[in-house]
Order: sequence, then structure tokens, then C-alpha cells
Amino acid sequence: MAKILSSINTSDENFKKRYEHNKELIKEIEDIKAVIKNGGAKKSHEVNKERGKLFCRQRIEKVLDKGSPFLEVAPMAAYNMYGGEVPSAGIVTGVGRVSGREVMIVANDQTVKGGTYYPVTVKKHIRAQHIAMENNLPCLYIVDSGGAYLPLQDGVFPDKEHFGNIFYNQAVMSSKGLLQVALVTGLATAGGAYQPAMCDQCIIVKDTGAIFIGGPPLVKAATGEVVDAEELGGADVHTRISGVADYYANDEEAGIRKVREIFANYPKGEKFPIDRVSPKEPYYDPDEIYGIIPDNLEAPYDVREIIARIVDNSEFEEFKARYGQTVVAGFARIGGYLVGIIGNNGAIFPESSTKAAHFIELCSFRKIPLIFLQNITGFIIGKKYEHQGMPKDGAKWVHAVSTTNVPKFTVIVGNSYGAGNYAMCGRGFNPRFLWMWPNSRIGVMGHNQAADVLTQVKIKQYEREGKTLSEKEIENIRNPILEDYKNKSEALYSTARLWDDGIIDPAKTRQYLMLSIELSLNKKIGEVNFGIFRM
Amino acid sequence: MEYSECEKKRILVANRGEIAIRILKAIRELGHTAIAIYSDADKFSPHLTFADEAYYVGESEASKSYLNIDRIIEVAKKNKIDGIHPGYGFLAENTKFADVVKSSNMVWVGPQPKSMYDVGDKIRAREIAKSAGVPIIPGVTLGSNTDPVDAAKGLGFPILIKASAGGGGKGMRIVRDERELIDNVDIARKEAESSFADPTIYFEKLLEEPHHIEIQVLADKFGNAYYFPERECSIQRRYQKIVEESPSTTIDRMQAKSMGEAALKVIKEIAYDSAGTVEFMVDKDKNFYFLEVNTRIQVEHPVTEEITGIDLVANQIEVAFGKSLSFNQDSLNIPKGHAIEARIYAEDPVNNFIPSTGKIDYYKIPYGAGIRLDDGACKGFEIPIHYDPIISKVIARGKDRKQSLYRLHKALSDYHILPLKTTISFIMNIIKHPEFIKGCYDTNFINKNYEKLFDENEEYIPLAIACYYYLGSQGFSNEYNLDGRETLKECWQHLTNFRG
Amino acid sequence: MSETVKINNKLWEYELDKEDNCFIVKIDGKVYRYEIYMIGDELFVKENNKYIKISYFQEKDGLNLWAEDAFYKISEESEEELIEEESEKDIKAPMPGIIKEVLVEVGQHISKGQTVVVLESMKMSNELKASVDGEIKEIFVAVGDQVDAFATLVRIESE
Repeated sequence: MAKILSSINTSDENFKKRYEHNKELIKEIEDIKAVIKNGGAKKSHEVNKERGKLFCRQRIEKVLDKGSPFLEVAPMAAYNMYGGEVPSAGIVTGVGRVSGREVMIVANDQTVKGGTYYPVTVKKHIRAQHIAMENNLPCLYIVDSGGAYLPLQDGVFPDKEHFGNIFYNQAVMSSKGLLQVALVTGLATAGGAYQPAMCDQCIIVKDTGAIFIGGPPLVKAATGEVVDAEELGGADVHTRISGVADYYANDEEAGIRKVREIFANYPKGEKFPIDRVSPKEPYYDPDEIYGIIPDNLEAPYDVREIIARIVDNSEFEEFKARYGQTVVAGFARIGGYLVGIIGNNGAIFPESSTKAAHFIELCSFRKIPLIFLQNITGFIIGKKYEHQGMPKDGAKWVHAVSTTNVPKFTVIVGNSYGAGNYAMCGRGFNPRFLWMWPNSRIGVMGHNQAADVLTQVKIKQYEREGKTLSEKEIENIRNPILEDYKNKSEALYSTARLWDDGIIDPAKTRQYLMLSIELSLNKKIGEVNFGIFRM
Repeated sequence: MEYSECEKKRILVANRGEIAIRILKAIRELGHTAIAIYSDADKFSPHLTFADEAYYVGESEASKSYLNIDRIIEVAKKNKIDGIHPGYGFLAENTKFADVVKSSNMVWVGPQPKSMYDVGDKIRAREIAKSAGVPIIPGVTLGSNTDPVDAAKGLGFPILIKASAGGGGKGMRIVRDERELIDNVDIARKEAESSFADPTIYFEKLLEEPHHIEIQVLADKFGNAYYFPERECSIQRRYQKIVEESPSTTIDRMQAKSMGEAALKVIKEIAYDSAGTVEFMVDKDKNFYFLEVNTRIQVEHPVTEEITGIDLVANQIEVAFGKSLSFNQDSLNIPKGHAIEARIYAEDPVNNFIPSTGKIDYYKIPYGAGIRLDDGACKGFEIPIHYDPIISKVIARGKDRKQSLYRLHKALSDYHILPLKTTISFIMNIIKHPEFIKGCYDTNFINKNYEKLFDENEEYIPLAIACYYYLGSQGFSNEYNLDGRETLKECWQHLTNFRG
Repeated sequence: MSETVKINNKLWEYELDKEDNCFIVKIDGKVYRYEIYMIGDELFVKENNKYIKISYFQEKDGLNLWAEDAFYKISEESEEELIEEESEKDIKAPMPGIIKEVLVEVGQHISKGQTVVVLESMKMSNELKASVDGEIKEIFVAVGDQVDAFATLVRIESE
């Protein structure tokens, strides 16, 4: 394969300006992440420490293999939601290695509102389970939760992908041979009692772990019976008398050791073999990405420069380079694995759509995973293209993306507006993982465009009533709409609502892709099975 | 040296490993044809590649191959062998073998069988030394009428009970008082019977601060005999030599001369006509006493070769085929520099020196000025369990003791063998020990300093950690899975501690 | 962050940082700086003004490293042994049965492993032994009593 020839000049003024700007952006994100990773109120931490309870992130660090990576999913969920009082939605989810195999870990953060489930918390828990199901990962639940957050129960309980779905997923995963393990380090109450009960194997910690359908206050209220938590549903009760739990742990460390032992005795399974050679670091320094991303998202940049700083040895075998040039497609290697990459250099034309669909077919037949680097404002409009059948060609592409047999990974590196999001494998098209860069934006259309459209509507409305608006009045209508749209299309807004799996450091995109490609190979790549392409 | 076809001799080496290589090389260097023998365990042994012809002699067990006199003679006769060199160990001091070789009209590269017989029995050897006017360690033979207690009291405790037919450090017991004596006498007799087929034992007075110093001798069939500068072999573990050096730091050249002349007296007394060694014990007052005669070329012969420049093995072969020697004895006694040898055994010092056998996966040898490596192994060679676990000898020569010590230390640092356990680190600790560096040590050195010889060098631990980390993060350093195939490291293993 | 590693069967705690090409190792409060390069199949290490060549050989169970005259076998510390669960001090019946023998008295000192009660069940005798050294505090049963599973038979206070 040939190396991409970069034309970036790192001593250019613009480069330096952009570098500073992007470094600032990522620093903001990292600062937010650092605060979020501290969990809830200091007092909660202290109380837990007294009781011998570890912080949920500490539990995860201890259960992971020494030196294991930890790919956290949506660390900034619920950011700026619920009054900003629920950092990380009160639950930590991510993939790490336990006894040599990748495991999806879901750990309640008891320091955040007692680990109760807010609507976003449920969404995050279920997203983690979906990732596990799609990639054939066993699951570890470190249970320490007070159950549903009652004031918002209508967003937590009744619907299809609400609380009950958690247990459904556990049963379905178990039926597919994906080990489900629970380590009860705190409360598992009411419906939550089903988390350990529905697991294949379950460990409960003495003194702090407790499983019961109804806790002491409920029991007293219902039948007058007075009984404390330990005697009602503590470790001894469940491992000796009821059989609800399988292992008794003297303390959390012992429980964690037991978890590791359980995973060690679970068959490892082979990864699906795809083409792989010895990996190489990119020839161009990934750090330069900071200087490539424009500080103004309207400005274009060549996506090949990004590709060059993600792939092995910066080598890229470009497909159909002279045709449909607004889409860049080609083969490369990441971490040694052969992958197909699709990126945007401008609006989508009919030619670029068919090129992309063709490329997806190639990758599908050869079982080559697909990476989408999204920076798209939309499909081209205008009479010429409508008559050419733009939607038809766009449909070919979207169809290929939807029905391909290979795992897909999407990174939004710029804009993600409108139908372009679909073609480039947005959230609705089930990529195994979808990440955003700090500078990225997502919406049905750009904020400026949206503000213009809506302001026009308002102006027309006033005109019908016979009113004409002054410049200033138009401004006053436009600005709030603009701000609102800007706010709602920001990466932070998206990641808080789990529209993505996290905001990542652009310079680390390669590592994220390496880890996720490799873990996706826990699931076999099936045979090609496209539907009908409208020709 | 080019011989005509009829002058070229076909000489068979009835041995294996490092000494076989040594002798095979010497044979070829003399212009003769070298023939090797091998057992099942040695069918890929490097020593075969140093021979012009190699013949199979039997199963791995020594008794069926390297000790199988009938088989070896059969192979020799069939292949028109002119002479046999027995090396050391195996049949080297077996008079029956020597007799059979000679009666089969082949040259025996060793002394005449009668001299082997004379000094093969330790008691007889002592008598011979005594009659040659050489001091012997005060001792008493235990005849059937001798009262052990009286005999021991006469000598004075502590005493050493030795088997008359024993040798090479085997069959010896120390007793320190009457009670220990009574407990051990019968056992010693029984052991002598089972190990050496002769229950005769004798008592020797145990010397204080003893040194084991031996004299290499070389004699021809014409009555010429010479002695070489002494070898100090006091570094011993359970009577097995580990480190030898020449000249000794204990005696001076004058004393060396006295000992050399005493050695020659013994040699002449038995009409010895090959290479051999006369061993002495030297006490704290520098008195020397005859110990025994080794009627063969020894493991540690390279030490002498290095400080004299004389090829002992080549001379031994030539002498056997009728060459006469004419060295200048006085200049021989002047050592040219200093040499120290370390014997490298495939043993695990940490686990009581149990033999560590198996295939060598990594083999890196030392080299440089003054370094001589006599080895019988290579990468991929499987050290067999059936034989003595000696891998090689490292000999360092220098202009003085200090230089040879430095060179030996460097050579041992550079000598890497895996995955077997070897005595390399143990020996490094020996030569780094202050007493050894000063040159003040006796045969109790190892026992006295045992614990310290297992010290670990922790100086480079931080460096090792940094390198370990470097190699781990270097990239996908390839791994080997269970059937030896190389595999690529997974991304999940490579991106250590990634947090995202 | 402090790490542990096993070198020649001894555990070592250390901290490691990387600055450009420089590896900084902290052990026991002392700081060491090394620049490390791979030359051929050996490592070239620079510490201040000293250069050292390191040979290494990776095996399944660890990395073998030779530095000057030292030899190190380096591997990750192995998983700790699982600690035994805290055992029940009191003597409890493992299954329903009849008390055949009571071998102790209240106040008596007993040692770990000593048989305290013999229970007969399903035609088999079970010797119930003390799991700790201690004193017999209370005896709840007498010979001939029928007991349920998990019933506490004797209370022991450990020393």
C-alpha cells in the first residue's frame, strides 16, 4: 500500500492557531471528565469508606487484569441534565479485560443519589448490554443501587427499553452463552434484586451486600415484621439458606478475586479471524490532528490527512480515487487489522453514493470491518441531481450500510447533519461503537440553516398578520433559536443523552478503533445478505 | 602437518561432549583421522561434527554405550582403528579396557596398564609414594585385624575414612570423634563394596586449612618425564572441583619445584608414560602430602595449557604413538601469566544442584582476548540425563591473576544459557568473593561461605525494570504460543492501561 | 502509580514514568533515569555517562534479561491465593441426625481440629471438629437428641 502524502505544514500560522484551539477544546472535555470521575458528594465517599465499601471505579480497576485497557462507554452521560447532580448518570460502564477476556462491566455509582436509576442511567445500562450482545461479550454487574429514582419513574419503568429490559437482556445473553456475573456490593432491591438473581453466577459481599424484593421499611409497613437488612437478605442468608447467591465474600477484595476466578474458568473462545499483519504506528504523528481540524466547522479539510494519522504506517489503498471525489474510500490497516475506511470531503453526490455502496459491497464480501469518519452536511440538491435520482443512489448507499454483515465503527469528526448522518452510519444504523470528537456537531441541519428557516417562518407569520419586522426584531427572533440549536447540536449535549458512546480525544482515535475492532471479533462475521438495491 | 596415507593414524575417541571435541580437534590438528562414537542420546551431539567418521555404539545408558567395552572394541576393530583415546571419566581409568585395547593391537592413549593398576588402588598408591620418598598424609590401612578406634586415636581426630578403590572425590567420610567413628566404619565398608567392588578402607588424618594442589605431568615411553606449574583446585563442592587456577596463590615457585620433583619421583616409580596428574594436599604450614595419582588427562588440563602454551592432549597422543619429549624443565616451571577455569554444569544451585536437563533455546557464548571456551553444547542441543551434566569450561588467561579474574568475570557475565539452570551465577559469586579475590582460600571455602554464594546482584534492578517496561511497550513484541508458533500480540494486550 | 513486579522470585515495588526517550524508575525513594534504544536484537541503555548493552530472551513465563554480570527473570506477580472463607466457629449440624457423643464440657479449652461432637446420620458417624482454638461456651444438646440441619450444637469462643 502507498503512504498518504500529507500536505500539512506544521509551522504554518493557521496550523498553530487550530492546534491551540483544539487542544483547548479537548482540555475542556478532559477537565469535565476528571470532575465526573470523582462521582458523587465527598460525604458519600467517606461514609462508604467507613463501611469498607470501595468507590465503583476502584472496584473496576481492581477487577481488571493488570495493564488492561478500559474502554469506557459514555462517561459523560447526563452531563448538565437533572440539575447537573448525576455525574456519569450514576453508573460506570465499559469494556475491560478480566482474566484474559474482554468483559462489559456495569457498575452502579452508589455515591451519586444512592446509585438510583434516572432515565439516562437506564439508557446507559441498556446501551452497555447492547454493546455486549452485539459483540458477544460476557457481562459483569457490580450491583450497588437503590433502584429506580422514584420522582422520574415514568422515564425509568414503563417503556420498552426501560428497567425491565435490563433483565430481559440478561436472560437473552445468558441463553446465547454469554456469561452474566453479578457482584453484589451494596443494595439490590425491589426489581433490582433480579439483577443478581438473573445472573449465571453471583457473589455477595458480607455486611454490605443485600438482596431483597422488599427492604426492612417495606416489610415493617406491610406485615409489621421487624428485621434488619443483613438478616433479611444479607450474604449469609443468600449463600447458605436461600441459594439466591452462589459465593460468599468476606469483603469486596475477596469478592473481586472471586469474580476473576469465575472468568478465568470460563472458556475463552476464539476471535473471528480476519486479515492481520504486524502492526505499525502511523508515519505521521497523530498529535498533528489538533492542527488540522479547522476552528470553524464551515471550513473544509481533507479527510485523508486524518486517515493518515490513524492508520498503520499511514498507508491507504484508495478506491476509485478519481470518481465521486467527495467521498474518500479505501483500505488500510489499524492495529494490523485490514479495514475499509469511508470519509467525507464535501457534500454527497450520486457518484459518491454509488462509489460508497460499491466499496461497502467489497468489504462485506471480504469480511473487512468498516470505519466511517463522518463530516457531512448533506446530499447535493438541485434540479440536475434530483433528475439524476439522487435519492435512488443515496438509497443504495444507505441500504448497503444497513444490511452489511461486517462490524461498523463510526467517528464523527466534524458535522453530522441530516441524511448524511444516515449514509455515514449514524446511530440509527447500529455501528458497534459511535464516538464524537469535541469539535463535532449533530442535528437535522446546521444551526445557522435551522435558525434561518425558522426565522423565515416566523417572519412570514408576522407578515400574514400585517406586521413587518425590523432588523433588530429579526435578530431577537433569530438569536435565541440559533443559540438553542447550537446548544442542542454540541458534542456535550449529544453525549449526555447517549446519542454517542463518548467524546474522544482526536489524537487517540486510533487506539479507540484498535480496541473496538478487536473486541468486535468476539462475534463471528456472518455471510453477505443484502436486500434489494434500487438501481 | 601432512602425513602420507600410511603414516596417518585412525584414532577413536571413546568419549562424548566437550572432552570428545577437545580430543577430536587435537587429533585432526596433528593430521590424523578422528573417529567419534555416540549413543542414542547423542545422535545430534555437536561432537560428531568434529570427527571424520562417527559410529553408533549403543543405547543412551552409559553401560550400554560409552562404558560398553565389547561394543567399542568391536566398532574399533571393524573400522581399522589404530588407537583409542579414552578422555576422562567413563573408561579412562579402566585397566581392563586398556588391556583389551592393547591386546587388540591398538595404541592406548594413556599410561601402560600396569601403572594404572599400581596407583588405581589408593592404599597401594600411598605405599608407592612412600617408597619413592614422597611425604604422604598420615594414615592407617584398616586390615581385618586393625582396631578402628585404636587406629583413629593413633592418628588423632578428625579423620577421613576413604575407600581404597575409590577416587574422584567419591567414597569419603569425615568423623570427628570415637562415637562417629564407630557409627560410620561399617557403613563405609559396605559403601565401598557396593560402589567400587572392594570393601577395603583406610583412615587419613584430616588436615587443617587444606589446599588441593596438583601437578600435571607428562612422560614418554623413553623415560623422559616433566612436571608443569601446579594447579590450585581447592574450590570444591562435595569434593567436586568447580574452579581451578594456575599458578597457585598458596605456594611459591620454590615449593612448586619441590612438589614437581616429588611428583616425578612417583611417576618414575611406576614407570608412568603418558599425561597424568599427581594430586597433593597442602596444609596451613605449607607442608605437602601425596594424595593420589590420576592416570588420565583431566577436566582442568586447559588451565595448564594456557599458562605454558603447550598442547597437552596433542603431546599425549604423540607420546602414545612413540614420540619422545624434550622440554626444558626449568623454563616449564615458570608460568606465562595466570589462568583460571570455571566448570559450567547444568545444575540448579538453588535446588541443591539437581541436574537441569533439557533443550537449550538460547545460547550466547563469551569471546575476547584471553577467553577460551571448551564446550560440548549448542543452541537446540538437548542435554541428556544419562551422563555427567558438564556443559563446558570457561578458561580465562591473563598476564597476571588480576587480569585473568577480570576476564573470567566478564566471560561469565556474557555466557547466557536458557532455559536450563546452570552454575554460572554461583561461580560468579565465588570469584567475586573477597577471599577468592585475595587468593586466600582452602578446600573449606564453599562450605564456609555457602550462604553468601547465593547472593543476588540487585544493582541493576531499576535498569531491568525500565527495560522490561520498554520491551513491553516497544510494540507488539511477538509472542510464542504453546506449539512454538509466533503470534501477534493483541491490541487489548498492547495498549496497556489505556483509559478512555 | 505504584506497580509491583516479580524479579528472580522476589517482589519489587516501583514507579515508572516516561519522558520522551527517558525512562524514570523510582524504587525505595531513589530515582534512576535511563535512555533505552533497540539496536539489533539487544538493548542499548544510557545512564548518565555509562552505556550498557542488555541481552534479553522472552520466554512464556517471563522475560530473561542480562545486565552486566547480573541475570534477572522478570514476570508479573502471580495472582494471590484465594483466602479461605472465615469459618464458622460454632459447631453446627451439617445435616439432620442424632447426637451420638458429646466429648467436651462447658469451660473446656479445645484446640483447632479437636472433635467436639459426634453426630450420627444416615447410618454414618460424623465427627464435628472445632475450626479454631478456643473455649466451649455453651452446649445445646445431649446424647440422644435429634437435631435439624444447621442447628447450632455447641458455642465456641475463639481465643
